[in-house]
Amino acid sequence: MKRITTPIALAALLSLAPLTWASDSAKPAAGQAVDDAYCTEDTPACRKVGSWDVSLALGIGTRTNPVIGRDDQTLILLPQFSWYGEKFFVENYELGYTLLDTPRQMLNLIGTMDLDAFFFRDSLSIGNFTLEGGQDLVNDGSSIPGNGQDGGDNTDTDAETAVSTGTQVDPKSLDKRRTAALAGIEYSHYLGNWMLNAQLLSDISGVHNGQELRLGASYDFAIEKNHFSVFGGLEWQSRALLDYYYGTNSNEVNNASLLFEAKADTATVVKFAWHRQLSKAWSLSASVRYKRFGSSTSDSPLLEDNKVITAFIGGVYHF
Amino acid sequence: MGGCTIFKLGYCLPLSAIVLFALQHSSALALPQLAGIEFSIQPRLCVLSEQEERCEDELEIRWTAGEPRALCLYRSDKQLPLRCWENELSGSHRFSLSAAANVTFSLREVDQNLLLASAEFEVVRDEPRYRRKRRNPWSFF
Repeated sequence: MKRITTPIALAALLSLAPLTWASDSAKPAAGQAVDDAYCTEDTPACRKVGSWDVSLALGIGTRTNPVIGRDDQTLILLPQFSWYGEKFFVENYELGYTLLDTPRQMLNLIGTMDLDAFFFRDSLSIGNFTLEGGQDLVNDGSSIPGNGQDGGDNTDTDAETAVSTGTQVDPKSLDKRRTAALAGIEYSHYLGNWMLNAQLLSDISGVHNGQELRLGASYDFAIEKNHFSVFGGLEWQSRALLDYYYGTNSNEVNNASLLFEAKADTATVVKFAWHRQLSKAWSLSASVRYKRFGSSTSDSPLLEDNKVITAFIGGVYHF
Repeated sequence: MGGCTIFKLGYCLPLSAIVLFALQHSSALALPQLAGIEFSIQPRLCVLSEQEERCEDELEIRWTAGEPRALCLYRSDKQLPLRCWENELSGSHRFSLSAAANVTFSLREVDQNLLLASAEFEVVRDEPRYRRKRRNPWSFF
């Protein structure tokens, strides 16, 4: 399995970015507070009501997979789409309903998927748009793999190595981890070039019945035609959620030392994105996202890495 | 048929707010009419969608007067009258209208070319609206 070992230096670099370019805060930037007059056809932070926005990014990137025996994912094509009505919106795999939208605040009801499930998928996963081939978002009665309960079918693995030494988890023996459907509320506060974001999500599919609280802040700025966004946040996940994905039970491991019961934990997420519009149809885009699991989750025998790095650079065509 | 008139709101309900606003606006534009003359046009409003360029509709214009009059009906974008009446107490004119912009209809006395009444047929465009895109900083990209 491939590993990238320089996230700390990257995170440190990104953390300096807002200070370095703080003097640009007076300039208009993508994503800064908007009002009705600000939302026009040419405003990147706005969308036309009632129409689809479809784009396809072509480039090169990777998403590391921290789960044992799982391959990193190479990213070539990233299709993305969105639709905005007066209140309702769709963005790739997410749905939402806007309760409040003022120049400074936005309150949404949202429905999304549990991103942790992506690491256990063999399905076609293209960036933010994931085709869950044959996967069921609704619990079909199979048991939760953690806490020594009976597991479901032992499928859903394309592990390139099957380790059976007794001191390491055999990826082929893992129960299926299903994708949970999460729903909850999201609040965003816009303050100049800053945006504070909070999401409180809960499993509504009965997969693990866990919860997730996300708190983060992003800072946007522009240098000439280049738009940058720096984001940092904390992602608290409940015991039920983490144990479902990263816990092990006696059916999955043959060594008691590999039994693992996860606890509620907090992960750290940092992201840096760059965007430059070349024409109405074409733009260049790049992003690096770094997630570090909490210290408790990192002890899971299912994880051979305590971080996930997603990086992509390429051209984006807007249809 | 292009456009969406006030008689066809069943399929253009989202535009109702614009319609109501435009109707109020339309009333305000009507010139003061001389006593004894009642002048009306139906429909009075057409809402064009983003793809439509012209409003195509059947209009009916009616007038009544307290005493017999010789009148001509004019539209603002034509020099010749649409129709004239001699010593009539009332009149009506039905015709097909094709308009890309507002059209004002007026009644004038034949002899002195005196403006007796006027009303406007309004063409409103359903301008696209924009709203703030929700930003999800937690996405992978």
